Amino acid sequence: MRRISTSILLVGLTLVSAGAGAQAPLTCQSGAGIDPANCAVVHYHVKMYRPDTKTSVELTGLNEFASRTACEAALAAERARNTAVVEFLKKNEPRLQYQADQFGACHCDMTRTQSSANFLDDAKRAAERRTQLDILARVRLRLIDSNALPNSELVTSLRVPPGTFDAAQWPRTVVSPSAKELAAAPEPLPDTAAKVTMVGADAAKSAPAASIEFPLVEVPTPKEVMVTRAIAPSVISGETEPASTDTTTPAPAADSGEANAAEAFVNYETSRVQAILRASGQIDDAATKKSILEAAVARMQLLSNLKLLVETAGPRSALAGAFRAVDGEAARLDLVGKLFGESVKSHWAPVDAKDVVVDIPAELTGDPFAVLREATGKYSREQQKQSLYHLLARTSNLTSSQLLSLADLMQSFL
Amino acid sequence: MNRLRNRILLALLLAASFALPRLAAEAQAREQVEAEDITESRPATAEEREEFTRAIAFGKRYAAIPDAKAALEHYLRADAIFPDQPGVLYNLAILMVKEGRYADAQSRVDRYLALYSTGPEVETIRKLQTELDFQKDFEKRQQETKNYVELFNRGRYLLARGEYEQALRIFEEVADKQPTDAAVAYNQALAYEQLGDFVRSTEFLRRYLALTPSPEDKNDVDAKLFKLEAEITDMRTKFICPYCGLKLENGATWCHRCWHGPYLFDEAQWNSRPCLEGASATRTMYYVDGRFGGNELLSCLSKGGPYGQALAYSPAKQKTIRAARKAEGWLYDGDYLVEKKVGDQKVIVLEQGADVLERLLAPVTGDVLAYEAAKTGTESWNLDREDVVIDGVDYVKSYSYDAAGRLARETVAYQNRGACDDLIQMTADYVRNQSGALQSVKLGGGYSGLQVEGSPTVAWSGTLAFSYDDKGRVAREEFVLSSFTKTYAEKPRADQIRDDIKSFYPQMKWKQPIDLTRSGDFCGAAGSQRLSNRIDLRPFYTVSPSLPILLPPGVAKMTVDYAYPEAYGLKNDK
Repeated sequence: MRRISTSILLVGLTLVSAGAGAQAPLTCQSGAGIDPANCAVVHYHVKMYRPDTKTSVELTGLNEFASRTACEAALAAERARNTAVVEFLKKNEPRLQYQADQFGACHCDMTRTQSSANFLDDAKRAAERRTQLDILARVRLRLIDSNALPNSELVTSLRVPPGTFDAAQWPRTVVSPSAKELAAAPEPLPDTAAKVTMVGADAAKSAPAASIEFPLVEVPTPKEVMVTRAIAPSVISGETEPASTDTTTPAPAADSGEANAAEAFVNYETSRVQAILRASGQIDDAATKKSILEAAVARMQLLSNLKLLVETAGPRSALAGAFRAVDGEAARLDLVGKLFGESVKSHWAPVDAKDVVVDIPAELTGDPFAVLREATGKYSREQQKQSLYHLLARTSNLTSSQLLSLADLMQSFL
Repeated sequence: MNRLRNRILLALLLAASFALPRLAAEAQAREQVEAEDITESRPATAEEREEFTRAIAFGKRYAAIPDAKAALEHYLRADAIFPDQPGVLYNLAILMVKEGRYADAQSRVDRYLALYSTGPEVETIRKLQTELDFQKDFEKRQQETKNYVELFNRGRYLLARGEYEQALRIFEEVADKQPTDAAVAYNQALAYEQLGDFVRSTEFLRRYLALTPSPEDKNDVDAKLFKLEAEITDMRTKFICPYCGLKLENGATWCHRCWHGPYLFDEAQWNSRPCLEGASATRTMYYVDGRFGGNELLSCLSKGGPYGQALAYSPAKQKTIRAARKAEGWLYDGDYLVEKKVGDQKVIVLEQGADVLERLLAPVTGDVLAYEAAKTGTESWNLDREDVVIDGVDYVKSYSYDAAGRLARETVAYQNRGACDDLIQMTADYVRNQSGALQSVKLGGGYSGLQVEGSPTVAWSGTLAFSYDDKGRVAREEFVLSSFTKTYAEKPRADQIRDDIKSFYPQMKWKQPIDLTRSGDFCGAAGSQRLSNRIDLRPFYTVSPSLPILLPPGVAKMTVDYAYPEAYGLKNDK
């Protein structure tokens, strides 16, 4: 009798609480410093109808979701399951007056916030799960008693659905990698990372001026001049012997492995220029003599530049090789022809000293660099070679970049 | 006449060295023979004299302006008219020096001294020679500097290209030439840093500071040194989490920013599955009646040798690991993983707290995995509680540690969603010998069913025992299920449930324990399918990497036998 009265009391209390709960919002109390509009974990409350006691119980710790979308999807699925059950039982067991579960909206889950009135520890959470299990088991039995098939979806769906978390996205154990797998290729440093050396930065870029002032001296005009008969015998004797009889033309130096392959050539040609100058002493016409002198000075300048160009091109260059390969007068003139053209070649080793003067058309001498750079075919190769001759004969301070480009050009002439 | 001839001969010989004084000596022998018979003097013509005088006068005037270049041109004309005049040679030498044509000037000086060793300008020309010697030395030094800078720049170029070893070779060569060039030391430091040799890098940075007592970038270099020294210390005292790449204190069991682990590098169990030739781990199962239940070869877990051997911290390794995670879609916030994206969709968000990873959120599936930890060292935390998801089931694991910080007990609670949703509890208690080696782990679990089901109580217990070989390696693990029972406290009222239970256990008696070791634990039915709560050892992945398994029904014994290469020994290798 006592058990019955206790049961009645309990049912009464539950109904009272259920009645009060029916008006409750089925949501967590706000507060505890959590912004309800911006919380990471949301859930919903469910007030489950117990068919055995015909009462309802609010469960708050059954679910939690990392997004409102996931929460609402789960809520909709659970509502649908419950609706199906209710409709089935109303249809098949109308006398039961089976009640639907009530569901709250998805909201911030405060059940893990210790300062919240809704906080649930593990024991309370487990108790709620157990309550849920008990209710679901009883509903399943009720459905089967109402002729639902045990293996029907209506019955089997009354289980807690398994999670869909893809554990592959978050593997719990990790294979320990090998050192080889962890070896990373170092990344290149930015250009500015490395320091620039200051060695030579404070050194003078050019040689300092002489420490002593060296005055020029007076130069008396000499009464004699040296002449070289063999270079231009015709000039001396007044005859017109061909220069081929020249026996004093200096022989080219053998390749002695010198640093500049053009040295032998230049040395030889320097002697030739001096011989020409000496021979010009026999010429009476001052203007001719002057032009020979100018041509000789120009030739000397050219030889000096040639040496620099071969040095710039490098000892293994084709240019150096061409100079090194010169082994006689024919080869020498052939090389001159290749580099400076046939018209210059004919003036290179003149039978008559005055033939050393090379006349190059003005259009090729105005801006020789422009002529050499010209690539549209405006100037012929021969014209460019003449222009090169003019440039080298008249320019004393070629820059390193000019030397480089000229060396390349000359190699293309070979 | 002979004297004159000799003079002429000498003059001609020297003339050959007009532009190339160095070749004068070579040319001398050749011309000596040929020129002897071909040169002679003759009286100068009036025009020559006039031209010469004019050239000299112009040269002098230009020199006075002063316009050394123009003056030089005129003296050269004069020299061409009447070669080798002492005054012309002298003046040419001076003007050539002024024009910076030192080689040409030297040839004039040489010629002058050869022709006029007692000439009036000898005294001055010897001073000019000293000047030329200085210039020669100056040029030599300039060339050396140029060569040095070129070599240095080649090293710098290689450094910028990431060819650090080649750059170092160049810089070593450069350092031999200029041992006090601070920039070399700095660049060597950079190269060593890039190669991961931080000790050498700091040596060269210190050398850099020593060579530049008050460098402008002292603060930067000091900061770099500080960072490198910290890295050196870290490389000695830290290891790297192979999952997220975080630096962890040696001895840390877990990575507190991703909760991967346990990093029990000294535990024999975690060194039992190396990826080495000759190493193997074979799991064998036996049914309760002793029948053979099948073999399974377990995959290796630590590549290249003992577990964690390759995990000593280095920035390069950290970079590699992070690159691997980034390639999977992970994003870092500083040192910590924060989220993973697949396409534009966030699939995982990690809530990093002030000290540790606190939660994992999976916005798409809605899962929330929580972690709790306790601090155990300056920068190490032990995991106290975690959520582990296996096959859609969330296992809540709790850990206890002994006084030495070793795992002592694990408890697992889960709702078996794959079967009848029962709320199951499991425990694992570690038993260690005096030296701390794990001897065995007592395992157990069970649950209480619902009243409507007849209030069944299920309990199982077993022991996982380890045996070691003479090198301290795990030779065998053996799990024996000692009991597995189910007792219904009452007869279920529902016919359906009663019928199900009777079909599961035909011989059962209410309120009497049912031995489940043969049949397994059936908890319900879904149509014709029997639902079973199997013994689930998978959450115990921390006990031993070979233990996690969902025990098949009827299996009462499981062994894992290990084989190792002869040379593989935990103590030796570590």
